[in-house]
Amino acid sequence: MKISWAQPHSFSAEEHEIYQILMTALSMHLGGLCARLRLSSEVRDLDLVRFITGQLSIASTFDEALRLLLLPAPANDEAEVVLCSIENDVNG
Amino acid sequence: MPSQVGARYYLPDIPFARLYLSSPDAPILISDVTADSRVDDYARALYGQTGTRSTLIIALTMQDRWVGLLNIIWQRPVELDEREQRIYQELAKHAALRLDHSTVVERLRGSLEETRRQGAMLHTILDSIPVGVVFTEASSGRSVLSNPAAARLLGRPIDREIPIEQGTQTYGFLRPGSEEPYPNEELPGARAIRTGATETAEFDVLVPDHDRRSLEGIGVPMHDTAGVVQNVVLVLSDVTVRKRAEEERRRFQEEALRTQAAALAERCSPLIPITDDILVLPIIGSIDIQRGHQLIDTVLGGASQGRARVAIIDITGVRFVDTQAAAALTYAAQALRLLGVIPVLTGIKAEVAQTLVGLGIGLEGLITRSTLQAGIQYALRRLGKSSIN
Repeated sequence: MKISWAQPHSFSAEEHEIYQILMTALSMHLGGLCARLRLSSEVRDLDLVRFITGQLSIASTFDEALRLLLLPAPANDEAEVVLCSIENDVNG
Repeated sequence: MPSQVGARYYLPDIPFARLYLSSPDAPILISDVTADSRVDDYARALYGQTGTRSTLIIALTMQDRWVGLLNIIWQRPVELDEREQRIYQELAKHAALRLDHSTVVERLRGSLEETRRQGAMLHTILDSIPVGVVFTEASSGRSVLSNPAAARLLGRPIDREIPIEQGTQTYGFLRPGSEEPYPNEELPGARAIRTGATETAEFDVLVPDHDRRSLEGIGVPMHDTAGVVQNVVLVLSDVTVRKRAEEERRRFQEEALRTQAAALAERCSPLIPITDDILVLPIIGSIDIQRGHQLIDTVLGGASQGRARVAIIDITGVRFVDTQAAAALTYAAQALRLLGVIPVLTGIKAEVAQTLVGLGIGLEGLITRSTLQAGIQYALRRLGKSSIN
């Protein structure tokens, strides 16, 4: 936080103390805000993952499953998706 | 990139395989395939052919086992932020599960289809084969599966509610060639359940149109891993024709034995001494070379051992005399004469005489008489006797 004055300003002891207290309060508030934003972002991501995994488990076709896997991708309307299974050969 | 569903590739043959396999734990994002050092020239050229600029590769693993790959491609450079990478890392686990599940389902579906195909084939075989097959559960003794031939052979449908212990009461099994009911406990299926070994038996069955049928039943036990009989397959086949043929053959053999015995008896020509010095050899049947020799041996043997002076060969019982028979008789007569015995031939029938004349055989040197009685009278007279006593 930055406060500017147009004229020279000298901080009194009280003022200094007030800003000291304000700094702590603001820091806590800002930290909480950031945590909330991070948390809500994580929750959104989790909701998305939960939605996709839920839909994956009931998807009846591979096309449906592939479309779901494209959902979190950037520019997903331009993307193509390929899903391959790997099977062991006779030698393992 | 391969676009068709179901295509199979050998992983080491895929140009990007090294790249795919280089990071099993984290998604690989290549924002620009034309500039990224991880893409070799060959792969870059292939990416170029498909117009790919950006690609995201996520290894799908389950319990440290590779199950697949998820590959997203873009035709322009794309950056993946930390959040998106995190989401895909999380999704990879679920995608792996889904893929593994689908693979297992596909495999099971294929296996089920194969089982169905084999089942259909088995049913076709069971429906077509001419032997009856009844699949019986050992614990209940009830049939759980049977084919049409089984019902046809038994003359009635297989009743699944009837246990094997009531087979005779239900289907009317009889002992072969008898009216006695066949004991249930001796039926091959029941015995196979009891002994755990393959059992065979023959029995008859009266089918509804009152026809009697002979069946052969083979009970084959099927054991579980502990060796306990779980089921029994009863195989029924109609052996009526075979049994009749066997019976015919047996009758024929008996008849042949009887004929042989009769022929043998016929060939035994006893030498009968009617007095100390008169022998009679009655011959019955036909005279071939072998028998001709046998007759010569018999009459000469008898004549040389005793004090015979007259030997009467009676051919009243001979149906047919040919050159060989005539030669044998002539030879015997000459030999007897050399032994000092007078040979007399009796019982020449009119047809035999005609045959001999026709063949130009005169039986020279042989004294002939029409009947045995006349021959004996001749012998007695010749020896100066008035009677046998």
